[in-house]
Amino acid sequence: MSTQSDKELVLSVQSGDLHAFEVLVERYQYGLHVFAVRYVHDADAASDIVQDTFITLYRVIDTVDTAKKLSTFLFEIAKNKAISYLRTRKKLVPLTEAEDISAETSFIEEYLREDVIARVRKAVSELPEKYERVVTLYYFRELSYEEIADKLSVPINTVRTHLKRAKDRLKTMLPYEND
Amino acid sequence: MKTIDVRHGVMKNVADFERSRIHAWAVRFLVVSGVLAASFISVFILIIRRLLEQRTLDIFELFVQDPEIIREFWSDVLEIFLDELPAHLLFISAGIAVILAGMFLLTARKRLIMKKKLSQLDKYV
Repeated sequence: MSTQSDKELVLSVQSGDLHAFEVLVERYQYGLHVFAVRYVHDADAASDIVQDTFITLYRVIDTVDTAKKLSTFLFEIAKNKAISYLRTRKKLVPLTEAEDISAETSFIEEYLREDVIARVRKAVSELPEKYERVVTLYYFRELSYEEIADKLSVPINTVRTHLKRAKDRLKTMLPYEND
Repeated sequence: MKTIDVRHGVMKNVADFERSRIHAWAVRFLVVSGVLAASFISVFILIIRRLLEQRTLDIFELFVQDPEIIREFWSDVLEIFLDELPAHLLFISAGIAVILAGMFLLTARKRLIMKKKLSQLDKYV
C-alpha cells in the first residue's frame, strides 16, 4: 500500500493521476464498509453505499480542501448516503436514535479515532520486541522512564533511546497519520 | 466479515465519467476555437478584399518596376499602406487572435491533465 498521505494523493488526483484515487479507495473501503454496515445492517447495501461514496468523492475531488482531513469528509458522505438509503427503504428511526442526531458527529470522530488506534497498535506490534515493550509500557500502560527501566532492568538512557527509535520507525510506518 | 473490494466498480465508474466529461469539454473547446478561427479568417479575407477594392496593393508594383525606388520611397509606401489599411477590421482580427491565443494558454494545464487522464482510462474498462 502507498505511503503517500491523503493530501498528497488528493493533489495527485487533481493533477490527473487516476491511480492515486484507486489507492484512496483501497485505503478507506474497509473502514467505510464497517461504518456503513453499522448504519444499514446490510452488507450488500453497505457495499453499494461505499461505492457511491467514492464516486461522489471523485466528482467533487477538484474542490476538496486539502487542508482538512479527507477521512472526515469521506465518512460524512457515507453517513449521508446511509441515511438516504434508510429513508428510501422507509425504515423508521426510533425516537431515541433521532434524539442522538447531535451525537452523530462525535460518533464519526469516535469511529475515526478507533480506526487510527487500531492501525497504531498494529504498527507497534510489528516493531522489534525491545522497542515494542518500551512503547507499550510508556504509551499504553503510562509508566515513567524510571519505572520502565526498573521493570526491564535496563538503564534509563536505554529506555529513552529505544523510545526515540521506536517513534522514528512508527513515523515511517504511519506517514499519513501525520496529516 | 467478508473482504470488500469496490475498486473495480468505482474505477470503472470514474473512467466512464471522465470519458464523457473529457469528450464534452473537447467538443466545447473545438467548437469555440473553430468559431474564433473562422471569424479570424473571415475578417482577414475582408481586409484583403478591402485592400484589393482600394487597389492599395498596387503601390507595391513600384518596387517591381525599379528596385532603386525601394531604397528611396520605402517609408512613404509603408505609410500609405498603413493609412489605407481598414483599422477597425485590424483591431477586430487582433482581438480575435488575442482571445484565441489566450484560450490556448489558459487551457494548457487543463488539456495536459485531460491528456494524462485519457492515457489511463483504458486500464479501467
